[in-house]
Amino acid sequence: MYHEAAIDGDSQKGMFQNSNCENYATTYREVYQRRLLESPYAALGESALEAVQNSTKLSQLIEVWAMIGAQCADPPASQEVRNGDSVQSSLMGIPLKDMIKSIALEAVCRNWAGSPEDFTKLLERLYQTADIREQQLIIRVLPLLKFQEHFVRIATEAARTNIVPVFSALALGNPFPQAHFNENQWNQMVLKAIFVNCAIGTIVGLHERHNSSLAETIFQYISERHSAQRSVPRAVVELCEQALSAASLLQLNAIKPALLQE
Amino acid sequence: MRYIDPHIHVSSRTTNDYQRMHAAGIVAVVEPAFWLGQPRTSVGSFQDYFSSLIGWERFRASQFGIRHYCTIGLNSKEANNEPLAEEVMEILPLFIVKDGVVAVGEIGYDDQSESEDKYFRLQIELGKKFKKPILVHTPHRAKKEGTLRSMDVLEEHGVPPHLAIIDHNNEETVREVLDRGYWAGFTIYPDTKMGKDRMANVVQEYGSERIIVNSSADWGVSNPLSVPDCAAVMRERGIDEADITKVTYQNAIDSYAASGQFNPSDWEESFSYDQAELMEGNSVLRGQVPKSSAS
Repeated sequence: MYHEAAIDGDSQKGMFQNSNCENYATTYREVYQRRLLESPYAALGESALEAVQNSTKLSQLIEVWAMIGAQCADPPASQEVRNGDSVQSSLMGIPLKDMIKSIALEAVCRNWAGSPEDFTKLLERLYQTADIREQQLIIRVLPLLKFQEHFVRIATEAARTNIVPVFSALALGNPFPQAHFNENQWNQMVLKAIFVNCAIGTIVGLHERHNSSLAETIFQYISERHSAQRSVPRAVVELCEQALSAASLLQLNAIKPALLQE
Repeated sequence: MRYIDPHIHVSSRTTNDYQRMHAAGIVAVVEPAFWLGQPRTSVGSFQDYFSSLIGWERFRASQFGIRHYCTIGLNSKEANNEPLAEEVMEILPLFIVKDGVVAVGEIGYDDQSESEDKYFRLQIELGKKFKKPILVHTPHRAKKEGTLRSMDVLEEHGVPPHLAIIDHNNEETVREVLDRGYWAGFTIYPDTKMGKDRMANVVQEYGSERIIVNSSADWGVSNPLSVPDCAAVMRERGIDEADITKVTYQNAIDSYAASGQFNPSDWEESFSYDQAELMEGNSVLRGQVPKSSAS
C-alpha cells in the first residue's frame, strides 16, 4: 500500500472523499445536535438557520454570525484540537458558539443557487476577514460543504498559517486534506505538523497518504535534529521508517541508538 | 499587581516587549486601529491590517500570556484620502462585529479638516448601530479646541458620555472631559503627551473616577511599560492603592464593558499558556527556551 502511494500519491486523493468526509459530516451533525439540545441555545440554533435561509451575501452571513456571537455566551472551550485523540472528541472541543456559526455557514452553502465559483468567492472573502476562532470553524466545517473540491485554496492557506490553532484545525482530526490535497500539499502539511510539534497520530489519513518522498524529507528532519542534539517524537521516527528507501533506512538505523526520542 | 494597557499598538512592538509586559503584570491589552506611519494607498492594506488585529496579533499576544483586544476604525489622518476612506467605510462593518472588538476607534480629528469631520461622524453612527463604545483620538495640534469639538460632535449624535473614551488628555483638557461625563484617557510618553509625575498630579487633583492610564506605545519613541511604571510612581507618591487599581486596571474594563467583549473572566480563568506547545517551526519563538505560565 505504501509502495503504491509512493508511485503515485495523487491517486490516493479523492478516494476518501465519499467515505471519510461523509462519516465526519455525520459525526459532526450528531455532536452538534447533542450539544445544542443539552445547552440553553437550541432556539438560537434554529433562529440562526432561519436567518440565513435566503442569505446570498457575505454581509448577511456576517450579521447572523454577529447575532450568534452576541447571544451565545458559551465560554470558549479549548481553542486547540491538537490533543484530540479522535474526531469525536476534537469536535467536542469546539466552542458551541462556533459550531452554531459553522452550521449556519453550511446551510448557506446547501441552499446556494448560484455557481460554485461564486460561493467560493464568498467563502474566501469570509475566511480572509475572519478572526482566529472563525477561521478554525470554517476549516472544521469544510468536509460538510457542497462544492468542497473548490476550497483547496482556503485549506492551503490554513496549512501555511503561523497561527497554530488554525493550522491544527486543518491538520488534526479533519478529513479534508486527505480527500483533497495533492501529494505536495499533503507532504508540506504533515511536515509542518511535525515542525510545530503537533500530535501527528491525529492526522486523518496519515498512513494511507504516506509516501516515500515524505519519508525522505522526514528523515532529513530527524537527521538535522539529531545533529543539533534535539529530540524527535517516537511517532515521527516510526512514520518515517514506513516508506523510507533502503539507503536512508540504513543511515537512520545507524544514528538511531544515539537519537533522542520522546 | 495586574494591569491593563487599554491603548497600545503592539503590532509595532517586539516579542521582548511582550515578555517584559507579561513580567510587569500586564494581563490584557487593547490595540486601537490607527495609521502606520506610512500612508496606505489601497483598501486591501486596511483589510489585512484589520485582519491582523483579530488574527495574527491576537495569537502572538496569547503566546506571551496576554489577552489581546482591538478597536476598529478609520483613523483621522487617513480619513483625508476621501476615495480610499469611502472604500474603508464599506469594510468596517465586517470587522466591527467580531469577537474581541471592544470599540470603534481610534477616530476623531488630526487637522480638523472637513473630511475628518465627515468620517468621524459616519463612524460615530457605526458605533451606535453596532452598540460599541467610541474611542476618540484627540489631535496633537490645537488639542484643546479639537477635544471640545470632538465632545460637541458626540453630543450632537446623541452618544451618552459613558460610551465614549476621550484619549490623550492633558492638564488643559481633563477638567472639561470629566465634567461632561466622559472617560478620560491619558497617554504616558517619555517626552511628549503626559509624564508619569504629571499623571500622578492629575490623579491627586481629580481622583480616580473615569481616569484611565495607557502607553499608546507604537513605532515611535514610547514605552510599553508605561502603565506599570506610572503605577509605581503613583505608589511612591502615596496615592491610595484602590485609586491606582482604578486608573491602571478597573476603569479600562468598565469603559469597554458596553461592548460585551471585554470580560475579566477571559484572563482570570482558563487562560494558561504553554509556550512549549508552540516551540520551533513557524511560531514566533524560533528556538528560544519556552516559558510556561505555571513556572
